[in-house]
Amino acid sequence: MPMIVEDRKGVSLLVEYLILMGIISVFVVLMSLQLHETLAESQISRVMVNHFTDVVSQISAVYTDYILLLPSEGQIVTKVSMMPEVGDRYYYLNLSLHDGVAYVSAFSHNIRTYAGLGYNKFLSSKGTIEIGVSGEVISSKERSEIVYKKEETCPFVPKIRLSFNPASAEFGNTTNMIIGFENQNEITKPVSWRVTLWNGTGIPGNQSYYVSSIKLTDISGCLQKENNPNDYLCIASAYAWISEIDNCSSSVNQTLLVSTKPVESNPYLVYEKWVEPSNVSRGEKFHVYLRLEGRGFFVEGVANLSVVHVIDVSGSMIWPTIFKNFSLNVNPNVIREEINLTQNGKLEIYAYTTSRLPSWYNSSMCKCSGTGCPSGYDSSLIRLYLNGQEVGSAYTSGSAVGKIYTNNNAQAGNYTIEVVAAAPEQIDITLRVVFRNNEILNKTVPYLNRQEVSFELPSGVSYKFLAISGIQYLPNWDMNYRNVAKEWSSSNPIESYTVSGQERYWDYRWRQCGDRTNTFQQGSLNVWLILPYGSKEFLMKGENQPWYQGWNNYGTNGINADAFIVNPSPGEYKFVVVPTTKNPTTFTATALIKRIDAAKLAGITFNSMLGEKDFVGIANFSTDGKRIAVNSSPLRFMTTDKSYVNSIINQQRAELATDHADGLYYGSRIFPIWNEAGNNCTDCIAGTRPLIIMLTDGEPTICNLGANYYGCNLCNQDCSGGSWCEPCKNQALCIANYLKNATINDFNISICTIGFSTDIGGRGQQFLREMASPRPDTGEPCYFFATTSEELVEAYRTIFNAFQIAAKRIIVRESLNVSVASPFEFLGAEVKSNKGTPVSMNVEVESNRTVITLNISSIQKDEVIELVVTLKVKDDVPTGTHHDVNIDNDSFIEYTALDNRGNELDRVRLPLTSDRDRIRIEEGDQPEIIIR
Amino acid sequence: MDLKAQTFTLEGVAASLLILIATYTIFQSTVVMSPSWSEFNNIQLKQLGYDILRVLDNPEGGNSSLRGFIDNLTCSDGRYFAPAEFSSNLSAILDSLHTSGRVELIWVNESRIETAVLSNFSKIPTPNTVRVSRFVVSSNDCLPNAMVVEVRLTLWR
Amino acid sequence: MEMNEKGQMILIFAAAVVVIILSLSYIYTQNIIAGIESSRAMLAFPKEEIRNLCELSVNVNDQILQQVRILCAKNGWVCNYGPAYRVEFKNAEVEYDAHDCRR
Repeated sequence: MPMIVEDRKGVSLLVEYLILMGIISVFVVLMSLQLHETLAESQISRVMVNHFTDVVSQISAVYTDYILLLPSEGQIVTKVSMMPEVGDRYYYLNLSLHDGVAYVSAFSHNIRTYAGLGYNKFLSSKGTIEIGVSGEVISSKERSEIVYKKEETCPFVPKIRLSFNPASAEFGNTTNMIIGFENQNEITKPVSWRVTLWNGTGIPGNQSYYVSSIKLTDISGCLQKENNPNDYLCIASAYAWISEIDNCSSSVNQTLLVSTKPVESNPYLVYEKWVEPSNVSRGEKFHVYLRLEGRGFFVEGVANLSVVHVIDVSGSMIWPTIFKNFSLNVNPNVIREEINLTQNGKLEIYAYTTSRLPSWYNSSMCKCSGTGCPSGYDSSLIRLYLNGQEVGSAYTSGSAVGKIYTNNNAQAGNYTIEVVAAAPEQIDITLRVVFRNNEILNKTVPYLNRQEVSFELPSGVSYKFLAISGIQYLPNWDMNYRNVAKEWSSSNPIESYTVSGQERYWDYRWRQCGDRTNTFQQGSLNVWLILPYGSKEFLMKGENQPWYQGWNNYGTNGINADAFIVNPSPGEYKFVVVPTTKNPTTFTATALIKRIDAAKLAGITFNSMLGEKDFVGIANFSTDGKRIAVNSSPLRFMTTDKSYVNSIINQQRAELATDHADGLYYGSRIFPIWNEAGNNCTDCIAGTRPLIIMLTDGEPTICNLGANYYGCNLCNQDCSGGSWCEPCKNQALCIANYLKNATINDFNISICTIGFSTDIGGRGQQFLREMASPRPDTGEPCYFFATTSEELVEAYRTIFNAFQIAAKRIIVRESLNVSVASPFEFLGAEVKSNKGTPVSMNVEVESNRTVITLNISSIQKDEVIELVVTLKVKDDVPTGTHHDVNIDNDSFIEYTALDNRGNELDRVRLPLTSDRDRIRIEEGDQPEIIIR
Repeated sequence: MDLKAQTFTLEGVAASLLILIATYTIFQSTVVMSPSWSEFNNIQLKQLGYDILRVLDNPEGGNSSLRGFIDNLTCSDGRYFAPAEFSSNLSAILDSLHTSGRVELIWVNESRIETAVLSNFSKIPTPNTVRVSRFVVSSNDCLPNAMVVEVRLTLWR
Repeated sequence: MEMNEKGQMILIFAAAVVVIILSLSYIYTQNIIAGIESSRAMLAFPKEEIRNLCELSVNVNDQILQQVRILCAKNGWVCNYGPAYRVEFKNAEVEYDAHDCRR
């Protein structure tokens, strides 16, 4: 055996071999142990990054879907699917918030993947939504979920409202307490409320509308007024909350004026200020309410009125005036069907009805006899359209009448069939289509094609006539006269009388039917006028002119009318409008009555507003003025019996020229203060406030030469009576000045003037304006201009309201804690009066507050003026804090108080304070998204 | 001395070690396998399907709306026809998206669930489809006792 | 002495093969496509069905509700809705329960 191999240098090769092998094997073992780690690590890290990105994207997708749904109250749970381990390693999934941005991340050891989910704050109409984001899970958890949760503590706040009717009552009488809610449509859960009266009585309830009668016998707890110990201001408060939550509440107060002696009671201005809702979250809107109300006793016991009506009965009052205008868009009821023909062939279309309408279409309704006027029902009343064109010929078969269309070679294609019938009452219409002798459509539908406009002629006046003119598109009779002179009927008198030897009358006549064959032409509208007791007239033109003519003998103002009713009864009048074609049209009409009838109506309406203790008198004037006796000595010309005065008003008739000075003089002589025999009794109208209302439709045309009224002697020139008379104007203004300075019961005599017609020119109106006294509510001249009957009634109503005020020259200063530094932002303000009084509002933004100033000329005793300011809480306000909205020491109401006679007292300044203007900023219900 | 044999052995050992390591690596390293899932292009199609149904469910749409189409559905011999307006609109939408569609109506008839296929949209879908559905409140004599109908739209490319 | 490179050639090629196999295995791990879970989540979340039910919940009619419940069950969902925007929806992935489903 050879020796162990040896190198020449003497080193043993075997040993060297073993050493080398040993070193290599050590390295190999170390390497292979490490290699697993290294090789696996690089692959695992790649896998982990990919998987983390995947899971994080999944969370992001679900988060996005949650934001898109975002239910206001609810919960969503979604399973998160993720591998329990990656490369034998667990990992964590985490949802968190950094700097307002939500992040989801997956991490394990040194590998971490993030995805940003966006800002967690959103602005919505309900305020700022801030989503709370949190949670962490380990991947090995058996079931992980991502959950959205939002609970709403207050789904709504019930806005309770409390009012009393009457709001000013006498001690011992009853008043009605009314509970309601302003946001009734938001209330989806049962609400409970409780009212606490001034004496501590509690009234609980849970109805959404509640009225109860309260007897005012216990006024303990009410505030007694210092300057008038008969008057008490009693405050009741109402509180409402959601029953099952026992929270989400609101409250409101209301003041009732109770007086032991209403006769001597002063009027008051009361106010109420509160905030709703009082718990708000950041970014949410809320309202600040300031409500001003007048309190006081009207009419009963407080300055009653003594009113003298001075009515112009000059000749022009015989003329007509507009009672009302009507306008209606008429949209026909069209039956529409589509058919599709797939080939050519014979097409027959039938549109017919078997119904009859004898009460609407009959020979007497037709006015004349002749061809074309439908009676019962007639094929001319059904129209058939094919693809928009009118087609068809008359069709009668048994009891069916209508239209038929035949086309022996109709082309294939789509066809639109439309049917219209002039049906003021419901009928049945059958539409039948036969194609190539096969019936492809047979439909019967109930059909009505009618629209209505109605108006009321108020009672109390004996109207001489009611005329309707200006209606277009009516059907027409084309007359055929053998003798042309027979076109019109003879004149029929409506009224006739003589005044100063001059005759005054109204006559009318109507179209006569031709004595040969007349032809009836359809119009696009069939109109019936239905009178209060049910009779109806089918309106039509004759020879394309209105059917009726009315005229009077005082000038040229006659009427051409489509309907003319003599001595119309008061009640409801109705137009039934039926379109005959398929095209929409417009129905217009004007109702006319005599001017003097409109004046009578307005005067009677005014008298109905007065109370039992008001006095009324009446004088009329044309060439001369005249007082009318309504009572007996010593008070001959005034009475509290309104119905008697109304009957006198009803008897007025138009006469001659116009002398305003005479009218004003004799009107003023109605007051029993001039030491006149038989009419001398100031005490009879004690405590009342004198008012003269002069109604005129024209300018002064004549003067009483040489008359000396109250020292006014300006009528020194003769006027003809046909045109403007300057001396009369001067005389009238002189008398007016004298009267305005005269006093009755320590009140100056007030004069209100109403100009009624379209004929009064600029100087006539100027004259009336100068004659009028200042209005007690606004200080403007008490002058009104009216052209229609409606406007005239409105003018009288405004005069009445002007004398019912509780306070004057009201200034409201509301100083709000809204500025750059405050927690609130100003969104808007709105002020409204329930009587329509204009209120001017000014908003001034200053560095440390916002001031709202209101200027109101007067407030009536039952008027409510409400200022609603909308504010918003800023987003960055700390939660859990309280803030007052109102700056108490800088807010006030200033007004001129009045006594029970309407005289001005001192200027009063009331500080505007409230302990219910405090806002609490709360957390708000915010949604949460968590991983668990 | 002959070094050839020793060197040869060393080389052989090194080679075998290398191959051993390689094989070891391949079989020991954890490679995460997930099932491949190629439905991503279907997400877009599914969202389109939902959008088509939502757009069609317009109360002002007359005959074109889902409600109008069900109200005016006609049937004969087990075939169901939608109003022409609806069919042409839906065909136009599908053509512009280069997709084919199948429309089915599912409703409850007393205690049974019935299905109807719309005639113009009755092609058999390929295996790779997307299904979207929407509930529409409507009724029609062709769908007896139905008060609400599920409109199911199947889309594929 | 003749030079025989056969062994060395074997070694070189073996080394090359190993490197190739190692790099291939490294690349193979890239085959895992991120996006499986997120796209699956987008396909599975029943956003449109929930919105549909929210719109239906405005008018509640018992018969319609019953038919809707049956049709939902056929699709593998549990649906319910009540008056005033109350909606419940459940499928394998998601449970939705809202007293007021409006935003």
